[in-house]
Amino acid sequence: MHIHKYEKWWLTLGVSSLVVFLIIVGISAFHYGSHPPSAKVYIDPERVDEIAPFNNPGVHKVEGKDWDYEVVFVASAFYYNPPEIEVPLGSTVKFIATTKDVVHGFQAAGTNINMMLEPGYVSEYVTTVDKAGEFLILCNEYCGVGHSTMTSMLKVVE
Amino acid sequence: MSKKQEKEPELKGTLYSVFFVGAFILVTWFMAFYLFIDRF
Repeated sequence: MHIHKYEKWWLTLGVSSLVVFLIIVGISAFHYGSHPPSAKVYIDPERVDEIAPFNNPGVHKVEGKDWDYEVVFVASAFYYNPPEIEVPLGSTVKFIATTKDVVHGFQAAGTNINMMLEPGYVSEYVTTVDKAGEFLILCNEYCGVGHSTMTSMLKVVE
Repeated sequence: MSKKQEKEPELKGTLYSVFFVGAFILVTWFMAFYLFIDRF
């Protein structure tokens, strides 16, 4: 089979960029432990308010873990509990969230915090908040008539 | 045993077009990746 010289060039370039992309994704997954923000934790969506930690939503300082704060969110149509949170700049925070009714989103605009909250499942995301400011948390899964007003606020303070 | 040598097609324009698209994909991929790395 005859392949033109230029065809060899761009085939080589195309295949090697694919390899480079996959290596970068592989390193971030297997070396840095990136994964989708869903934990293999199940919860009865009817009894969310009674089950720890969701019986006490908010910011909790923790000791002896890989993170400094646990932030517990309960989403339901059409609001988040708590409606706003404050965490200190530079702290490592674990976001733990679930929903009481339908599928909701949990996205802090301008950050990589972006999870889907599904009834019966607990979603978790650990990150170090290294930029001060206010980040709007919003629902990015259409959940009903009040979807567009479903927000909370993440405040990273010095 | 002489095989008729066919004239190679001129693919310089195609090469530039392919590399232009390739460069665009690479640049935008790394821009998105930088955004991901830079954000918390």
